[in-house]
Amino acid sequence: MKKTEIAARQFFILTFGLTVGTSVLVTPSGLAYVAREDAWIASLISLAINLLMVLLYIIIMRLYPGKTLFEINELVFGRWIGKVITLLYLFYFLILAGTLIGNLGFFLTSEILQETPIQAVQLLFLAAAVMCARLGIVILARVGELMFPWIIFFFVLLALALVPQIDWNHIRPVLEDGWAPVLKAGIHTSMFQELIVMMVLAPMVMKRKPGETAYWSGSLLGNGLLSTLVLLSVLILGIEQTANSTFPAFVLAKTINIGNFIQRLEGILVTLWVMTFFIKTTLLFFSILSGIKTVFHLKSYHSLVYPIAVLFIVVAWNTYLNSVYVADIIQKVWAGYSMIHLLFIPVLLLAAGFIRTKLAGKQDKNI
Amino acid sequence: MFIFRKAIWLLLILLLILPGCWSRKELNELAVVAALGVDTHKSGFLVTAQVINSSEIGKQRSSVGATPVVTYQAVGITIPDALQRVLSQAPRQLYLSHLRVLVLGEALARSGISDVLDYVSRSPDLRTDFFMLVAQHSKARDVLNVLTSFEPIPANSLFSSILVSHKNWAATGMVTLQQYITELERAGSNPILSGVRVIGSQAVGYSSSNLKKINPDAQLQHAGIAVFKKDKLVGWLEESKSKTVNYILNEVSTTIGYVPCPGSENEVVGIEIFNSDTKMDVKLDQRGIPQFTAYIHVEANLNAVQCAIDLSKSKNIDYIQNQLKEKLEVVIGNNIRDVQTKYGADIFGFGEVLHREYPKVWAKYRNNWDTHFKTMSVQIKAFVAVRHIGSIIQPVRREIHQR
Repeated sequence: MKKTEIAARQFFILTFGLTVGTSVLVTPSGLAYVAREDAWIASLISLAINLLMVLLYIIIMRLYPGKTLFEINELVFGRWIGKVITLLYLFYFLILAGTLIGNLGFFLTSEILQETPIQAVQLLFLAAAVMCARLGIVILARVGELMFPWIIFFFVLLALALVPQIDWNHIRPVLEDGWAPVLKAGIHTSMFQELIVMMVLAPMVMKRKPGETAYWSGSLLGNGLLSTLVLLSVLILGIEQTANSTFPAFVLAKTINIGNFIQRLEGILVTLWVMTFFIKTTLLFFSILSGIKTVFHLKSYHSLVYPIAVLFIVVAWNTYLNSVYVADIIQKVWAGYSMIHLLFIPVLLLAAGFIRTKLAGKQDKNI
Repeated sequence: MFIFRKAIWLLLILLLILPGCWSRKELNELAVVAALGVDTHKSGFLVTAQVINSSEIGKQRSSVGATPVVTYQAVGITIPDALQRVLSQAPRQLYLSHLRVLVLGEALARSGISDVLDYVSRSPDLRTDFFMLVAQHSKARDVLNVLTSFEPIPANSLFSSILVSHKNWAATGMVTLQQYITELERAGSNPILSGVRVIGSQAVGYSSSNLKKINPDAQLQHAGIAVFKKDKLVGWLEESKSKTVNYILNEVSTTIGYVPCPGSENEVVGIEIFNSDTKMDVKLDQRGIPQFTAYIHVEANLNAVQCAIDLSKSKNIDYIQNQLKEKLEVVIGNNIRDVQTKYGADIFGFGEVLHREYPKVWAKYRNNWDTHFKTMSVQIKAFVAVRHIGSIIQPVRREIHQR
């Protein structure tokens, strides 16, 4: 069989989808709660942190070209510790994917499909993800290519429709309480884009150099979109409503009213969100499958697609008890837990990688 | 395998044509609520729902008898509790997404409306684009029980008359839920709502006989602006003060006024203000006390000249400009001072201006802003430009005198 390969352009779109997925709905709320009028500065800080993390991942990948995150784990930490760390990642991805599906169900059933059973929404969505997982990553990449122009089109449409309502007074005064809350909110938010997932897929990109460019530019565009949305939320809803809404972006889309004629465009936002959401969940699905494949040396992961899908649903139903519980976990636990996987282990990988190459270099000289 | 494939294809094709919505609600199962009224009651809330009688609306020829809307009332501990009890009277399920106005009874407004706000912003059924009104000196129920001519649905009549009169008359406020909540939750501002009252005989307003007269016995009228301190109604502003509020909040688009003619206090020149732009500013004096200034830029036309002023002379236009400028500065200044001393509620948002410009100074005042607001000095600076004088030059009065 031919080696699966994706183009740098497709990689760019997937990175973008991963960054935007889910965050687009909820990010403004947490940011506005902590950083108040400066939520938009905080989101720019989050953007910068995300780019730094991507830089870190790119450096690691340069040390081990052509290897996925899981293979690097085993190379750096040795076979057994490496496998344990990979399993930690897999658990992280699993919880993440499960919560995402829980989030999807909760959002759709609380705001739009109020009487539809949450299970129906989640199962339907999962069916699409399963189908995509069975067909392979190349298909997801192509789906992404089909969706991307629509995502951008819808977003630009929304943003333009919101412009007339902007009230610049909402973001003043700037930096009233200094940098502390802004930095805190920014660091906290930067832990929700999970760009490390792309390290699993990066080796599939045909050419290395454009792949790296796609990696950082994809996350730049995605985070840029998020920052724009945060800014618009604060400019239009004001901090009080942004912070006190369960789904601020949805509230934002509801306020669109151009000449009492173009109204109720919230459906567009939901479409945009579901599309990026699909990319994100399916990417996590693939990462988990390929992780299990690496750890247990399987030839193919196809037999695992259904069991993992069932696990997603189990996790979704058991983590998303209610939105308050999840918000509480996200505020208190999740950022720290994410940071271990997004920052701490990669830094270890990098350090270990450098030491190894140094040692290898010395050995070369000795010979 | 082949049959399996065929079955799949069949299912897929059926999927294209057969699916519906899980929780579909057809129009003939719904009672579309156009207006909701909330009043206090000794056991919770008295909720009045004005429901569109859809079979009466669609008719080409006016039918005798049935009214275009029906109101249902019920009492409940919470608003949804009361709405549920409405179902015992109504044949259909209440549908709230197309709500146009939410009317609050004065007694409820005085005792605080935060519980109502919580329900209306929490419920995903309700959009945030309806207007909120306070029923002046009456219950919301009484307002919703008046039938209106012209617009068969009273809620629509209220809705569009708010839009129209807000655009053309500075004394009508237009406040949506979203604006109210933003003003409410900020430390440096207090919210307002516009008022509505029933004029004429309420007893007749109930019945469709109200619609059969050329001059209806009962009508709905906008009644100034209701001042809130946090979520509690503290008083009403009459016409001139309501105008002041809208000028300061920069909500004036067109309005009508008048100024005295030169040399005579009783004769006036009518003025149409067609453009108004207000900017608020704050400076600190030597002792660090904030001094507020509102800059009002106004463009006006003359629309009724009831004296013999010589309009061919540009110094007379200057005179009118100055008169209008002085009038705006004096009247608006006095009205603001009245609101300051009488209510101590910063409905103009001066506190927010201070917050934006001098966050450090604001920190000193923030906890007790309403008290400090009473002592703040507010200057009004008006800039007036008279643009058009209409289709004739000299006043008719002057023409008569000359002949």
